[in-house]
Amino acid sequence: MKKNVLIIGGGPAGMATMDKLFELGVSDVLLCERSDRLGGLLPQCIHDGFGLSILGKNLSGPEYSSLYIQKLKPHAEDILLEATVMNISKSENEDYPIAAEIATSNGSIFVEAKTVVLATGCRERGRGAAYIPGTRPAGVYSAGLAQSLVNLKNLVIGDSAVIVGSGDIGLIMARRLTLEGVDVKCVVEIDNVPGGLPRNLRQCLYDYDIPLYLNTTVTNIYGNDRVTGVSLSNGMDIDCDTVILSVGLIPENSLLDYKSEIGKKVLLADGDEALSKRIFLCGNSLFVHGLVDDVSNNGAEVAEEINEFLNNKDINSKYQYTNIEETRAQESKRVKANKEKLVKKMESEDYYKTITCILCPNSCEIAEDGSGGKCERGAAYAAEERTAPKRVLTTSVMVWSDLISVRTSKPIPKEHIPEAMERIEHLRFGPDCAASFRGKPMPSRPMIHPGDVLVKDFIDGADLIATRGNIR
Amino acid sequence: MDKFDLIVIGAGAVGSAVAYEGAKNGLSVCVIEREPDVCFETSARNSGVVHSGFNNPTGSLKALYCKRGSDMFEGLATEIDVPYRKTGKYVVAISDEDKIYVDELYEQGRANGVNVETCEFQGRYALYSPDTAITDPLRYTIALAEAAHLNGAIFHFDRNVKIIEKNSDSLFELTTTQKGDYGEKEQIFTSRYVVNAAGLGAADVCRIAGIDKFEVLPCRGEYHIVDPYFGEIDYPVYPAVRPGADVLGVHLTPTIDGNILIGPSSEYLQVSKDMMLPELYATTGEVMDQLFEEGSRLLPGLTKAAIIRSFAGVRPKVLVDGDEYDDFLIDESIEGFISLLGIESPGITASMPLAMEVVDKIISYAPELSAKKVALGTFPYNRVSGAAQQICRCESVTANDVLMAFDRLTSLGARPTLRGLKNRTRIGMGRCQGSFCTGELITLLRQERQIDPMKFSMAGAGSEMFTRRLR
Repeated sequence: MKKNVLIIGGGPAGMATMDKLFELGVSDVLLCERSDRLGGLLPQCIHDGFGLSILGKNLSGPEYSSLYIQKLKPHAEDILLEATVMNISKSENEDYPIAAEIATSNGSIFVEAKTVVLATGCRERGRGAAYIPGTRPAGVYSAGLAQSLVNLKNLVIGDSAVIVGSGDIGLIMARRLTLEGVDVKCVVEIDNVPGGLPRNLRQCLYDYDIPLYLNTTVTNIYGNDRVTGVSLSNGMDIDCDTVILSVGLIPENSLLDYKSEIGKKVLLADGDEALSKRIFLCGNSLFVHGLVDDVSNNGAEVAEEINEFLNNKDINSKYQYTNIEETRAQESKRVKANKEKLVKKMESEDYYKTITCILCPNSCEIAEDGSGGKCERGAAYAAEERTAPKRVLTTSVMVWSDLISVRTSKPIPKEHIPEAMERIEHLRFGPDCAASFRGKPMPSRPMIHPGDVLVKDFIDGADLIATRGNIR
Repeated sequence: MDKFDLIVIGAGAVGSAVAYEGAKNGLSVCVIEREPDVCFETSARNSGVVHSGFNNPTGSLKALYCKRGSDMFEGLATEIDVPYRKTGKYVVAISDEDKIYVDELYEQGRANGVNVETCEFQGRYALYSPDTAITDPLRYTIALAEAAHLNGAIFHFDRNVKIIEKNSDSLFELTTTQKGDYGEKEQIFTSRYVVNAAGLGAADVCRIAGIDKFEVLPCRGEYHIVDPYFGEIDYPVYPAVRPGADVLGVHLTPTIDGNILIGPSSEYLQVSKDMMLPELYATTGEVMDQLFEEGSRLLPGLTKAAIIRSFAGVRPKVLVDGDEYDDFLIDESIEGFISLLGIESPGITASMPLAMEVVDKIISYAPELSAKKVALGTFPYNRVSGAAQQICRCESVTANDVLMAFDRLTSLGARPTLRGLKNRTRIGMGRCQGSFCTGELITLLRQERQIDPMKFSMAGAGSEMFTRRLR
């Protein structure tokens, strides 16, 4: 098979690249995704906060993902699911110099391509890299794994948890587990500033009075069969049966292999200028992004540059393999500068009194007196946040045998969330109960689409709507 | 009551080798193991090196069986389809004072009949042992157990031996208890011969049988496993250090799967009676730092992020009447009850010669037992790497790999656990340490093998992975 563009990975970066390529009229594109569906990690990110920046909408992960899936529907034949790219190498063909071996359940497929986009996302650091001594009992999970087990596999991983790392996934999981009745004892952060977005700090930790210990690490894990507790570097001992590790994400580039001082493994494109100009990295495989919106933007930009490249224009793109060292260096510089700014801000008392507006990507910081916003909406938002904060509730319900992620159709008063969760607990959609779907009884397993109203006027005038369907 | 020619206590490398050798010679064999699966303790937690035998004092059992094991390992590995790679090994004098230790090892190696030479290694004086090799101790032990099983050996897991006595027919009677879902179950097995290959539990088993003079002295060794993408080394490199020196003398060992192991350390543990095995296997911040520091001197550019896992193994050193006995020890204080004690390094290498010795001994007592000699087949794990749907991307493990391992595990009688499946397929052993594949594995087992996730454990009863269903 010969292709103009081979996209590896069907997450937000890969989907956005493909979407834009088709918009630009590029033909012969192939997208390979190792799982049985598109979306990457978005379907397990059932919380809201996606799309604020590029769509101006507050969506959950599955909804954001299904927008792109809908757009790609006409190109279904150019998408291979359950297809794992095993390796990429240099081919003999001068016009199509990149060769890829793709493993599928029907055997291997070989593809030759002009360009390749690595939209392979990132992976989590585990306990090894977190470097935590102690026993090795059950109950130590990385945050992303915990998220997928709870949100996709219907499994609760413990009764009481300590969360290591205050990155966004750690914060999101703190709230998610708390909502589902897990006693989240604390979040510990080795750094002197929290890692996650201010919005997540407020909505995930402060809302639920979960303590955050900065400059703190876990110094030991105890327990023989199951975790029984941890020791912290601040001298505290905490009883818990679960430890969740949110200790950083690493771009997944293993298809390119790593450079090594001592070993034989060499990067595919090292020393081959022409070949490395044809390898593009986008999204989290380039560097780890805070917002999925930025990843989608990455994808669109990569598509435009590939289009130019295929039209024989000489391009110099930050996504090209030749330039990733520099791109990454610039990103680290930006992250470092942001951190320094944050440290400074945290030194002032006002920091804890300002509210970061989340209505648009400007992220204005609204002071107590309502100043600091670039528009009036900020002051109004901050005023509401101070007096009567509202939240979109995201969780999941069982409809027949499908775990369906849901959210309230609009924000509800924060203090009503326990009541809403209570109602969720008692919701039953199945053959043996009288609950209804769209006001009608459900005699058989219903087909559910994202956006379907499962319960009308669920609480405070908000409906309960499905954010993910049960059909592909 | 179940009656056997031979009962083996312990399903590690030595116990499984005894079962394999026994079954091969036509004995009816029963293996009793306290863990839910084979290879959960000492045999799973080591460097995976097939030693050539220069490192042990001339005339010791260690030297004898290690040399024999080294000579036969390649053939055995082929027979039971276990990975094996002859890498050679260097022992390097770090300073001029250490040269003498290289010379001592050279003399000892020659005396042991081992092929050794002295050479220059990166400008330093060193010993080279061309016959040192690496293997996968997990797959080695599992293959031996499965081959034994296919030839009639019966395995019982999750069982502790409580009483060992001789009955009126002068057979050994072993009372065991099994922790099950419905409380403790007692079962009695009888046999003509017993081999105690219980590793860390070997002295306890002796005590139960009425032999009081032994104690196991646990000596912990911690390791770091390095991300295969960090780089590879071709052969093990050990420093030559004065015995009892202040440094760990950190070794670098390549694994057959492309990782580098840094370690092991060496730390004698003070054990109290109520100390549980997992506590012995705990890693400590102090040693982890020490290993990292010495490791990064040998591996420039090593970062903590490149370490994908740290673990510890425990050497079951043996004390006889309170004094350390620095060798393998084969005890037959009670005739027909053969205990193998102090089987630490080079235990994997020596496991088969030790097993052959023991089984030969039993057959010399009762030649009639070996009349019905059966042939052993080979039972490869045909990994369908590449051309199939991948479950674990890091280690290229497919759904079929997992299901086949699961079926073989259950037919052996073991309890399916995450660790057991990892040991067989390497699922979750890669650089992401299971953060992508664990969920997929749970779904696969539920859909294809009707395994209730709520009962699925990491490593046996008590280590269940989930506390409840969400909805």
